Amino acid sequence: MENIQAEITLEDLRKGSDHLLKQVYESNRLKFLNFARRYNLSEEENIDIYQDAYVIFYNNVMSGKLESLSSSISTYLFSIGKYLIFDKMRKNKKVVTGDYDLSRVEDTDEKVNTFDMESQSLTTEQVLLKTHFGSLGDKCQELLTLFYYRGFTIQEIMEAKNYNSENVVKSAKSRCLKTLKEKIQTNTYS
Amino acid sequence: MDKELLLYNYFSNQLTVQEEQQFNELMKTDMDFKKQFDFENNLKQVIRDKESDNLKAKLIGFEKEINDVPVKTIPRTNYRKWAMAASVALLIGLGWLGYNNFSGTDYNALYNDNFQDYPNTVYAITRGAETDSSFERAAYVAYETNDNTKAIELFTELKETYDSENVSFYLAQSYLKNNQLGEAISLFNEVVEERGEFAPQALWYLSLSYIKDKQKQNAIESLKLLIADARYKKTEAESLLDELE
Repeated sequence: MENIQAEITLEDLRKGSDHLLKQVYESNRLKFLNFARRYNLSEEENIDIYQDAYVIFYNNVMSGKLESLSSSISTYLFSIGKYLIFDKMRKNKKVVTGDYDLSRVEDTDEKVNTFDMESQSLTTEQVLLKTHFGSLGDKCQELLTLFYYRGFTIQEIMEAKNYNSENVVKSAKSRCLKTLKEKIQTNTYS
Repeated sequence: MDKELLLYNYFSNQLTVQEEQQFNELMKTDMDFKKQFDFENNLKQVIRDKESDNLKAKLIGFEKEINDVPVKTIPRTNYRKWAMAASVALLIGLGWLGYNNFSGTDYNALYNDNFQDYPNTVYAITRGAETDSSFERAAYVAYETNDNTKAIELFTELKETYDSENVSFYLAQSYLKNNQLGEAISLFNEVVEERGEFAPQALWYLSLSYIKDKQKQNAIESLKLLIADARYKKTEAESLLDELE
């Protein structure tokens, strides 16, 4: 497993095939759960935290916050997980014994201190936007996701999705944004 | 200045320093620009939120698959019985193969190569003392002549009346030669725990007993203790440990 993981590159992660997602999930799961057990949260909580850490790791790969894999994936998952565990313990107001020092949690591990850790809840405006985004055609959703989430350039989108030219991609993107705006306006002013 | 390009570069993480200044300036002075930025930035967060939901759902699915595996793979028909029997047979087969081949350890050969009778260094059996009819003498005579059953019997009696490190050690030796490994192991352990004169010797023979009993991990541990102790058979212990590992 270790060897398989050593061969996984950021590029592979960005492509994000389901097979790879599953492979990474399974190969780090037990290690993570064993690590998390020492903090006396329930097994369900630990699994939930593992999944959240995984999502955060992935989002930061996608947003370009993680520019290179300088450690194994599990190291990142552990660092994020530790942050989430302490955060949860603070929220649960668990009595903290001498084994773990909460004051040190603020300075999260260097490797992840540039990461976006919080999944901020959406504003009313964003919730509305989310609904309308979901009602866009599949092509538009895909194109906008590639650009705004996966960090693909216009050229990369052209190549990946077989568009004829960069201009075609650009105008498609503009059209999708325009449609989305119209949907919001119709909804807001009707 | 191409405002659209500025936004494009911002969202592709490729603003130059100069462009960044222009970007910041426009955010303060150009309301339309700011409005367009807010829209795209909101969209970015919304997509991220949606993708996070999707990914989390996928992970929950993976988790469910992990927990469902045993249920899924066993069919409900009569095949189940056969499948189970086949699995057990396969497991035993693989286990046996692994035991014999993959581990690459021939325990009996290792034992035979390394085992040597430990000489009687305790009781001097001399002609002049032939009149000595004590249990002790008889026990050591039996030991030296490899009459293991008799030696066990006599040392056991001696142990009941006159329990000493020596008696335990030679009783353990007799058990080992008689292939009663469980008894030998527990007695050698006893001697080791007493930390007396025979402790390092007992560690060596304890290791050999574990090897004969194919208890690899225990053998490795006791050999390591012996090497650390360094008083007896250190070199032999090191090469034996190499072969085991």
